[in-house]
Amino acid sequence: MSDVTVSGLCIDVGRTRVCDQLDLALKPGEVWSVIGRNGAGKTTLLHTLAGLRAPQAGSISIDGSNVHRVSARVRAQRVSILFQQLDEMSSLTGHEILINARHPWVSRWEGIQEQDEEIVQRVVHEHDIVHLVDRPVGILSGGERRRIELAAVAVQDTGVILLDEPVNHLDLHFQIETLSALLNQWRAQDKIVMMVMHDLNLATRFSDQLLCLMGHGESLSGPTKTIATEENFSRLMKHPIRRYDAHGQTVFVPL
Amino acid sequence: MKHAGKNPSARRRATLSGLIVLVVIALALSLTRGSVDLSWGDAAAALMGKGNALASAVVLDLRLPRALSALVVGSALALAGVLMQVLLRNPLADPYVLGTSGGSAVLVLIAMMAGAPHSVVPVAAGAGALISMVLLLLLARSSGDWSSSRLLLTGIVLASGWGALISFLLSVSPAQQIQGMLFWLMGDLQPVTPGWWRSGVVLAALMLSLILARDLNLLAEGDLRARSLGLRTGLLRLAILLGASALTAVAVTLAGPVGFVGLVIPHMMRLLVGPDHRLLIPSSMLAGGALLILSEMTARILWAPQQLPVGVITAFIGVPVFLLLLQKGASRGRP
Repeated sequence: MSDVTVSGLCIDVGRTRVCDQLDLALKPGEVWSVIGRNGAGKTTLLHTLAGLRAPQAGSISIDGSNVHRVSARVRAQRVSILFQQLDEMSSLTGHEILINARHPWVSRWEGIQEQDEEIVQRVVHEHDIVHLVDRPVGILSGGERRRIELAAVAVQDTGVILLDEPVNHLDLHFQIETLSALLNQWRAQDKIVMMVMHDLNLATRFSDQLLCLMGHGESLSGPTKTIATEENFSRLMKHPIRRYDAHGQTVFVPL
Repeated sequence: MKHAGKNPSARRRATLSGLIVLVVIALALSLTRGSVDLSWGDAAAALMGKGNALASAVVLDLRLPRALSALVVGSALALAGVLMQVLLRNPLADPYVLGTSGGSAVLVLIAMMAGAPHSVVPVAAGAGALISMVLLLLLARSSGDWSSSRLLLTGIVLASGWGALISFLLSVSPAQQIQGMLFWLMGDLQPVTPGWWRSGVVLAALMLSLILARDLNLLAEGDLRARSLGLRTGLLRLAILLGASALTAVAVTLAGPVGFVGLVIPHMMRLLVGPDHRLLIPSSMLAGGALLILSEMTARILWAPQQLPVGVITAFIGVPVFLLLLQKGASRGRP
């Protein structure tokens, strides 16, 4: 079981302050969403949490050790990240990308084992991407590509999972089906998931906790029920937003 | 269904055996064909020290050293190309494009003009490649992070800078030296054995890049992605630059700047065996060696008794093959 503790985190991008003295405690089995306007620094925050970018101040500890101090290999055994941008250059097949995702667990001298191949095959079947993995990803559609990348995150098998707009490029039914199936599985496995979400409704629907980046370093975090209010969201998006309850769902609609 | 992971060792054995056979055939052809055609038996006898005097002289003093040099140069350039293409994530990159062989050539030319002893030339070649590489590092890294397009652009500008320096050196050098220099610049293989240090560098680079093959696979997915999978990309990139420049120096000191092998061979092999470096690296080195052996042989035969620079032949073979592969690759979705 993993835990993530963020303390006193300050992140700047150029002259923009993403967060200022941010403290968070992420518990096993929790799903978090980061929401905010364009340019608020959601992706930057995620990259910092992944240990790929140094913060201006503060620390991020995963399973008791600072993510910027542990070796790259150990870090990659603890935290995985799905990037927002698709890599257009790649001539790799889906299968090759999935095998690469086992890298943190593969010994340099022993190489890829039968067991790694089995994990890849299991994930391929669970994610229903058997028909996609033998083709170069360059010829797949954006949505198909996204499903390969989500499977790669599952293959990496870390306690902390960071997803940058995971349902980007996906069809509506995949957005709901893929995301809820994956999140349920990961919750059951006591993993910690943090997603950057563009859609307020998907964010509130799927996450237990919200982190709102309000701009100028101000942030707001807590359980979805208490954070997801008309007032908070209107201030977050700088646009009036109304809340409606229908069919057991809560939806937020911009006026 | 063809499956990269299903039985990699069987596929690997088949491909590599095929390429080794190709190298052996190329060697056999290269030893028997030329201004004097020998039978297979004569060549074999000469190799075992039993042949007649003419055959022995032709095979042992002229053709064998040249063929072995061609093997070393071809495999070195092919590996350097593979490494540069991962580094830049650009299939059109090779030590030529990055200016590494240009820098190497400039220092070799200066050593030749200064009449430096033979033993100094490899040092000059290595130093030139290294200087060019360090310049590239400093210029392309000044913004604090690596960007492939920036690296590529910097490399191209560096290469044209070295080109201008070469023109300058040629125009001020004494007339009797120019022909030799020009030939060398076009890629010219002399009948000298590759030597232990060159073979050693190529073998060491082969071993190291096979150990790092899975890391190279990761780097091919992009810097951020590779880092998120636990790769220390800064170190790996540095190792690639050092390795590629050492390999370039090996090739430049033996044959001058032969540019095309590092570009075409990895490309061709990628289409044949896929992008997995565990297979791509040894295949490219074998194919590069075979291509250069055959090119060297053709260079001796085509315009006999005049001997052409081997770089001209690799370009003649390489350009159409490259264009053809590019055309085919585009329709299969591989760049």
